[in-house]
Amino acid sequence: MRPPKVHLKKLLLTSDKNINYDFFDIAPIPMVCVGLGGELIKVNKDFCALTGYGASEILKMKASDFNHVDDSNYVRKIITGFLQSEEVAHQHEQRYVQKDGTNIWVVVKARKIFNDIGDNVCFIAVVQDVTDQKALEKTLLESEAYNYSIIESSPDCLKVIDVQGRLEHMNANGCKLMEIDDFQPMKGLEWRSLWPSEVAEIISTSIATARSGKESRFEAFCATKKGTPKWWDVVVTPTLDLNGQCVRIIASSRDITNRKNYEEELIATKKERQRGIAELQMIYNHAPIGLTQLSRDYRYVRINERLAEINGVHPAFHIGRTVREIVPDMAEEVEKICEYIFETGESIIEKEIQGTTKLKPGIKRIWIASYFPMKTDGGSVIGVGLVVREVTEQRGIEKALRTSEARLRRVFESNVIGMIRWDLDEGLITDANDEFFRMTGYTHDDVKCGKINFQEITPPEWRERNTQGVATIRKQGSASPYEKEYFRKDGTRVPLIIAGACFEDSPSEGISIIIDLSSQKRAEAQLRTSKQRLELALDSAALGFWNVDIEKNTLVYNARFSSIYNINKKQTKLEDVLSLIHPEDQARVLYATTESMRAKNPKPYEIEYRIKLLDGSIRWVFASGCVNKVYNEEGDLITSFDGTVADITTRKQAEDHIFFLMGEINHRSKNLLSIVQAVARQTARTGDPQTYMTRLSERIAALAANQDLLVKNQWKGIDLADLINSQLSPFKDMLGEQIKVRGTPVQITSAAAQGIGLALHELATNATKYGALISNEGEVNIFWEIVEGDQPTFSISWEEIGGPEVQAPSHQGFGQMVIGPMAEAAVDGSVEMDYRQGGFYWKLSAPIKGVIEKRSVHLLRMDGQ
Amino acid sequence: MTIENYKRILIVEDEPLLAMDLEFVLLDAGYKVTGITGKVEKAIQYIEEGLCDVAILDANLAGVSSEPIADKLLASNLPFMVLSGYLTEQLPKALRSVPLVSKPWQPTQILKTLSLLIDAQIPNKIN
Repeated sequence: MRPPKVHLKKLLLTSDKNINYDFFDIAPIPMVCVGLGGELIKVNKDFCALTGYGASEILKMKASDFNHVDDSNYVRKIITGFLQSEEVAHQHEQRYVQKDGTNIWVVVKARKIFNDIGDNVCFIAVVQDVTDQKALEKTLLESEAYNYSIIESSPDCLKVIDVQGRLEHMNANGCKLMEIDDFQPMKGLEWRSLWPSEVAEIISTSIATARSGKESRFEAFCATKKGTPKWWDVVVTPTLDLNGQCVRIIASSRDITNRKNYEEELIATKKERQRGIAELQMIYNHAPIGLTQLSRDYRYVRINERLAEINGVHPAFHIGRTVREIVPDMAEEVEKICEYIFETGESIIEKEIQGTTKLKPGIKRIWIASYFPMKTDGGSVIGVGLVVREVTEQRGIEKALRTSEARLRRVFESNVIGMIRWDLDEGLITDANDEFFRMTGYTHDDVKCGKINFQEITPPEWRERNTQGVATIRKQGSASPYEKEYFRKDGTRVPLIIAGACFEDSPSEGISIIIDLSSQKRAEAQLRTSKQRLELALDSAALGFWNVDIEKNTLVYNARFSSIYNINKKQTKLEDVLSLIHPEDQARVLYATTESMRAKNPKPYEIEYRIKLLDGSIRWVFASGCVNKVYNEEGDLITSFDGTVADITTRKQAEDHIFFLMGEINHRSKNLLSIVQAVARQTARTGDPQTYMTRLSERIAALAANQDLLVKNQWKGIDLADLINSQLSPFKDMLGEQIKVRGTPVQITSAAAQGIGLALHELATNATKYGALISNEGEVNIFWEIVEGDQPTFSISWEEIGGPEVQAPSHQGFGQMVIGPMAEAAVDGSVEMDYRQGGFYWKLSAPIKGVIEKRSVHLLRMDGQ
Repeated sequence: MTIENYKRILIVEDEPLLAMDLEFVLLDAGYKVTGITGKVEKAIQYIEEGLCDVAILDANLAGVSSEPIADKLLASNLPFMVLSGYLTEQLPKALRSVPLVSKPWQPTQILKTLSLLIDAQIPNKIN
């Protein structure tokens, strides 16, 4: 409460000896008038109440009588100073001692009173009791000191900031943390100026928050004075006065750099680990090999998509189910291997397994699987991990080639067939042909010296198979072809196929036919290259594009797609498209596309399947597609499912054709083998065993020559002149001289070629041994013709002239059969033979049906008429 | 020589050399070969005229399937075996239910199968 100034002003204006003291009594504040000697001239009742003295006694006292003893010197000094000075007004604080001895704090506000001539005559003072404020102030001071002691003892950086946001104080630990050597120059600086600019706004906000009486907290980065980077956890607290006004702000910053670094490190590590796991998961899922883990009771613990695909069962369906439930066909073998691993803890690497799965039921497939134990830290086996890769296709090709014996045919074409004669009792090769020597590098001399032991030139790993072969020959008289290797003379190896048979009259002796397989590898490589080229060519073929409108459940596509699927509409409902797919393939396609579109983990798919066109024909297509995220015209991100489709019918047909051809080759080569066998058997029936090898070799050569022509003409018929040239090639010097050939060009069937070819071979052999070709004197005329008529007839004749006298042979040898009944059977005709005076005469006649494949152009025209 | 050796055998084989070779094997073993043909119609004619007791059938007669002959043999309840370079799966149905001797064959295989066919008087089914 302030004194009523108006009254005081009035009083001062009337600065006269006769002061009107009336207002003393009405003033609501202690007042006193004091003379220059310190005597009390006038007091009011509030002053009496303040001092505790009565009005009568108080006027006898001096102003100094109220002074606390400790203050009296101080008060006297300042009053004296005041009176001597030019100052008009003065104020000070001091303690009064009340009548009852109580000390009170008062504020004394004094003013000099002057008389008319300007002399200071007295002064009037207003005395205000401020004991309560003093007490409060003291408490406040004490509490502030306490606060400061707390501030100083805090390990954090504590700052005292004024309401304007300026720094007043920073504790010693704070200075240390902030690396401030001397805080003094920083005093009065704005707190926010200490922070990086991006944090300054936060600081201003927190100051404003504190000013409004609330606490705030934040984390921020700030380098120390010396530039050390640090993270801080900052709490900004207002200090409030009694009225709840903010008078100061305490900011406490805790150094959380380590925690922050650790947190960041943790987040980085976590991210890194997550990425690592995601990568592993992706590799696991999309690896081109099958992966799975089985529990001790043979249940699938996890499986990747590749293996699930192999098994033909959705990955999720595997989990918790047993091997027996998913792939019953192979369960027994897998369980047996797992059992072994559980017992021994050892891995089984690269083991072949065969069987069927639901993907291609009924079709036997082959895999290479590796099994390894999954161990706990303690080393006990808790499961088995499997790595599976499919090799059906590779095996298929190998097997097809192996069984097809395409190589056999090739061998015949190139006339490379090795032959050996052996003696089982001696274990020796007793004779061999040039081809065998070419193959192995041995020589005639080696054979003569009895150097070649067939067991010794067989590499160790083939010896057991060889022993088996020998045993089979001893038991059954012959052994079917099998593959093995021989050591060449120089120690290298030659891969070969061998088949043998013993002589009926001398079972421990016999022959083997040997075919060199070295060229096999090249053939396989060629097959592969040509297949790849075919695929490349198909890659460049036009593609159909399609896109699924997911909302409308409709397929939209381009013109190529329409032509492949043979549909007119511009778009089609998905289910209608599906119905075009071959019923047997629908489930597969549906599975592949659904899997591909799966929202969680979409992945591209590729599939080959058949479509059934409206006209009932089948077309093979190759389709691929994937889910894409794209922006539509409105700019929204939408899911789009699209892909391509290609017509691969031609490729499929080519594949089928190759497969068919392999079967055909297999059949033909077996047939050829049968013929070789028959020739060998029949050659052995008659004749001198010593010349057996030569006779057989020559006949096989004749067969091979036929084969050459057949292959050259793609089994479509043979030019008769070519056939004669080929069969008589050993005597080609005589052709045109001693041997004369005449006839219209004519193509004969392969069956006829076989019969006629072999007959010509036998005729020529006989002629050089016993007939017209034994010397330069004789001649042979070969002549063929077609005699037209109701039943056009083909005939070919062999006429020997000027040779020695000939006789019909005493017994029916193989040669006789070949030129006789066999030739007849081959053309469904008849043979005429005559052992004439001048030489042997042979004529084969047959209806042209079954003999003639194609006549000359000239004759064809005549037929046409 | 046992009674079975009097059985009359029909050889259906389009390759004369093989047919002859087979004939010799059968003759040597004491069988009687009543016919050799590589033609479907001829073979059926033999069967219809009741000229054979057992048949040896090549599966492929110069590109023509011998299935009709097999059907005829099955219908006539005559035992027969099949000779072929094809695998069983590649053969027509009627040829799959009888013994198959694959080419190239061994005389012992032929003779063993033949005596099995005759002994057991199994007209068709042998696995």
